[in-house]
Amino acid sequence: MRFRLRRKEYAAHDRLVMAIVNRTTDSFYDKGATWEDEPAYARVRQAVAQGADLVDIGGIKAAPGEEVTVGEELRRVVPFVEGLRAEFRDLTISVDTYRAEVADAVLTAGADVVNDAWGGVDPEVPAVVAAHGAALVLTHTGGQRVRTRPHRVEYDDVVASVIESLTWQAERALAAGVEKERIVIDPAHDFGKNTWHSVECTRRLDELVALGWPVLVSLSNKDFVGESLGRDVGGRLPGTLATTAISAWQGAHIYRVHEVRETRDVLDMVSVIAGDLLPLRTTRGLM
Amino acid sequence: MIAAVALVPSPPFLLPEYAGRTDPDPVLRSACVEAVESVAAQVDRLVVICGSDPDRRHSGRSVGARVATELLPREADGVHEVPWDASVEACRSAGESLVVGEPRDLRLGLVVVADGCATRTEKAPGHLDRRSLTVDAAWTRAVGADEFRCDSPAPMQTTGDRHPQLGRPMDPQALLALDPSLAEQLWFGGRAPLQVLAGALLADGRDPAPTAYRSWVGDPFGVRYVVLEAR
Repeated sequence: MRFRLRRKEYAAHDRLVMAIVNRTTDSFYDKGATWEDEPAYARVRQAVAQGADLVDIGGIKAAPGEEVTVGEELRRVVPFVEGLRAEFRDLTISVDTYRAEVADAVLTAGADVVNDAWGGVDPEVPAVVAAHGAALVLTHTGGQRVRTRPHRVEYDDVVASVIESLTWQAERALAAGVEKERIVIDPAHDFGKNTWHSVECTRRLDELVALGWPVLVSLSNKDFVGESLGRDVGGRLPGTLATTAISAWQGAHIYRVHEVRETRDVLDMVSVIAGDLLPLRTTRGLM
Repeated sequence: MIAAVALVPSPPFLLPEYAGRTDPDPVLRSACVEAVESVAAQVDRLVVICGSDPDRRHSGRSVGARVATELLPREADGVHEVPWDASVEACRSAGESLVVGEPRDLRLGLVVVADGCATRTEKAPGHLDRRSLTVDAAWTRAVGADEFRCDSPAPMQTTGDRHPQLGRPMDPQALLALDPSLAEQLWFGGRAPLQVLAGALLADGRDPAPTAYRSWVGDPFGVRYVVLEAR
């Protein structure tokens, strides 16, 4: 299995870090830290320096909150994408949006990936992505309405639901003309899922990997980590990294994260153990 | 006639099977390659002298033999592996047998794989034993290389030093004076191959003995490495 983002081609054993850059005032983790231009650019520069392979820019927080119109979302993300493209010629830029109009604008501005985080709710998104030759991230929300929290959701088999939804969305994307090698699937932990569901998606992630599409996981500091350990948002990094390692061992490819350096280390360590990456420098017992 | 001698250490990190994404010591590697390539280019017959592995838990070739193979630009005409704990006399006689009977006009090149003490610093594989500084100084001088800061337990500069000027001739008697028992205590793995070299030099009888042409001396990991080319 190979997949492509921007001009780069990746192999099945590649493990990529996608740094989250929110252009929002109220996202759960950073709480507006990169709302202003200057810290947002600084965040990207730091993420790249720490080994991020791509960035994921979001103009609307996932949780319920103040409505962000199309116009406002465009204002938040399009100039930023243009500015990043001018500064980072080779950086893969993803934008987290569920709206085709926004997707079209950011791809025109130089983005490479649309992270359609709400389960493909806007049916025009795949055609827009196809028209730009861009990549598309498909997500499972179990039909959860955009920007709502799951409430008493149950599945007969959550992984079966994920596979069914993502397979259907992949077929739709292919039919719309998205390149096969530019389709990425994401079980979307916590989206339309309680902690039991997200944990099961992690435990059985190999079933998603076996579908043959590159798998993205968005685990970073999420509630399923917090509930598993009894940790508030600020104390979820160890749990996030443990989940990252387990996901990496099962073959996931892209990790959407807040903490780039720590994730890079975890992924590289997994890659070394798996025999996919050489250790950096070895002298112990070899001097 | 012994026309040229290359001396190289054998840290296993030089082997491709242990290569990480970055070379722990590219300066050491390039010095080694330069020395053995230069000697190989000057001679008709190339013989490797190395020691067996002291702490052997595998069934493959010794590290010394494998490092020589890795560094050499072509296959050696012979590889002489001496037991790491061979007596001085056994080493000397093994060295003699390498040159006795060879035609005098045959240009013989020796690639000697020998490491110094691995007890030079607190972080060294064998921890710090200050006696190693004296022992290393002695054999480093005996092969004609320059010794720096040999009275200090601090690591020498990790990049080592190059000295393109002519040095001193090799001193086989001083090499034969190295004490096997002390060498064992100081994790001095190159003692036996150096004494094989001494036996070969004495049997060859060249006067003056091959003389250090350029050398690199360092202990970036608390193990004495000497890279040297002598003509």
